[in-house]
Amino acid sequence: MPLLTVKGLQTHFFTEEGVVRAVDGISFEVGRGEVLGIVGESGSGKSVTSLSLLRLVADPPGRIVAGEMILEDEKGHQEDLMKVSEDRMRAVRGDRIAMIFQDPMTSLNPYLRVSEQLIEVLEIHKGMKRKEARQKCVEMLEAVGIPAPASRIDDYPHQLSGGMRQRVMIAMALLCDPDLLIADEPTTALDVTVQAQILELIQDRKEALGLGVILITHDLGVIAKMADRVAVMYAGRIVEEGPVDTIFEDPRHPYTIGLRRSIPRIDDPRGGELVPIPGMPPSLARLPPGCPFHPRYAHAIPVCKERYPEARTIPGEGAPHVVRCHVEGVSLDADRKAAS
Amino acid sequence: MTDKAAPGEATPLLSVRDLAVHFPVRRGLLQRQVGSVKAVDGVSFDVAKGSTLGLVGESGCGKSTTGRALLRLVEPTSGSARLDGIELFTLGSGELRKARRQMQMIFQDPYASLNPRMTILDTLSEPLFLHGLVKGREEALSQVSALMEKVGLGPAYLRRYPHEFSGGQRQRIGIARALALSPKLVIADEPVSALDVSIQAQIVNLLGSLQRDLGLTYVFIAHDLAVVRHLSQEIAVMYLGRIVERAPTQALFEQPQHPYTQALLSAIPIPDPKAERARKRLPLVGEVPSPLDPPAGCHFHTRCPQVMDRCRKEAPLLLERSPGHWAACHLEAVKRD
Repeated sequence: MPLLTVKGLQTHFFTEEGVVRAVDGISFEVGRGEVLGIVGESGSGKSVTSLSLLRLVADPPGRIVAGEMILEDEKGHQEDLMKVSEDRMRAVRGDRIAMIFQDPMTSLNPYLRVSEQLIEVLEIHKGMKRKEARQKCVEMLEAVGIPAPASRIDDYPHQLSGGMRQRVMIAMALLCDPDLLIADEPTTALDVTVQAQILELIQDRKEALGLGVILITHDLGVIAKMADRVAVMYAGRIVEEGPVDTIFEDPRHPYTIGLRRSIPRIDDPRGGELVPIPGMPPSLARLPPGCPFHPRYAHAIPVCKERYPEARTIPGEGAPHVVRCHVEGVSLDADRKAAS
Repeated sequence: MTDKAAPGEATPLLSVRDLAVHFPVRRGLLQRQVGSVKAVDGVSFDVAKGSTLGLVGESGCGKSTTGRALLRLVEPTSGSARLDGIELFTLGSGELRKARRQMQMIFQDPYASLNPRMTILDTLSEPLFLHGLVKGREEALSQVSALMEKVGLGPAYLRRYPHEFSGGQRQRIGIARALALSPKLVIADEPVSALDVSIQAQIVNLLGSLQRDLGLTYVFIAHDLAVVRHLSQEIAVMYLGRIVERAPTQALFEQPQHPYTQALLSAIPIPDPKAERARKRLPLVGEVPSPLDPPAGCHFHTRCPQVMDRCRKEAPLLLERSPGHWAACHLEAVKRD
């Protein structure tokens, strides 16, 4: 069994405008030492997915209405996080599953020194004595590349730069030696040279500790650099999933293909027109019937408007390549030919 | 710095020389000035008519302040900027208002720059009335409709309010407003960075086709080098208030001369896993220092992997290394494999 197995997760928000199906039946796995990249645009449900895994969805208006989230420990013992008590969940958060967010300033308390916030984690989760905890925290800050950690640990968050704050968040996330790290747009607020440092830090810690990582981002470049496997989300569902090379070289969902063709690359000479995806993502409160992508797909067939497509496995080697699309024979080549 | 225009070009539409924008830092009870932030510190460039200059760099490099200073949305401290022969920095307020017809700005967040209580028709016709370009409501309506069509929005949207639009549509309105007065120069400050990936391409294409159709000249300010590459003929890279390298787009990407440009390019992940694994990143330590107290000499020396003694003392001049390719670095022409 993998480290985390998610089956049929559904998280809905009950609003005045109706039920918003932010996450609507997604399933995936993450192994130890593996990075699962989840790509999607705003409203795709990628961030609600990460909050759901920690059971941090604000209720009301949100609620996890169905699904299993099975976490396995080193001894092979499994527990379904959907079923455990809130007390148990509190122990799991930070200890076995840790999370880093886009903006570290909103998750660090501005009134407390970094040392207070870090030491507390070890006192609560590991029952460590203060002195011992402080020592471990200094070591962790050093491991994430904070210079002069023994003195910087007593800084307040505002005294640190954006990149340093994100390093502190990563140190905090890794303090209890978690099995799974969820990183939700961890570098989106950072400059690109600092982004490269933070991504390499996550990679380095993953390799050193055998962490499983769920990396959520809108940036296909970050996915290409970091992920082993990729899940592409659209309107609350995973529309395509597979090994990172397959998803980039041989995508089979028109949305994945559209994403690939709509982004300019720094290694491409100045070309002609980009190929945008027409239209815009649907409102989750008013999803079109059938496959929610059909209004943006020129080659949709009648069944696309009628029902949501079943998962279809594309034959090939390695980890399975699964796509949810009624239209067979969709590929990068076919798409290019149709366009020209 | 130099006074030479880019070689082989006709008179440029926009010509900026030694632009500096310093913000005073005040402290204490008497608000005495204790120093200044040199947000822009001696920037020069030309933009040929109908072409695009990309202005790139990380946060705090001064790229947005440069754009704002050109429109005098912030007052420049010194330097000169000529638009079609007119010196912008000495204009009185009446003349400035007139000159602003020729130069317009597109902002990152169109929602913040649209009045939520005005319909799109009112928002777009206001500048036409202010500048006396239309006589009555009817003429305004027909001009605004034509404008909306140019940016790909149907006349059905005219009587709607900003909140009824998606982010991509709002940016189309932001573009329509910038074009309402038929400007010669458009300064676009991060126009696509708030948009979803699938919508970005629509707006990038729109900016490209408008430029071709209307002969517009752009200064395109962005941190996303891939988008900048797609739209620009020439690119200037800024670091802590100064241009460190300026070159035709292809030359900048293929033979970057300045170590900062090289590091910046190598830090951008390419959306291609195999190419990404094959790449060697040039490690750049630390972060951009505070512009309040920039390092002496070359501002980049604290992070430069090839720093020499001289770099700590003496700021390098922006010199032409090959035709049209300028770099400010003490290293001899940088080789790259």
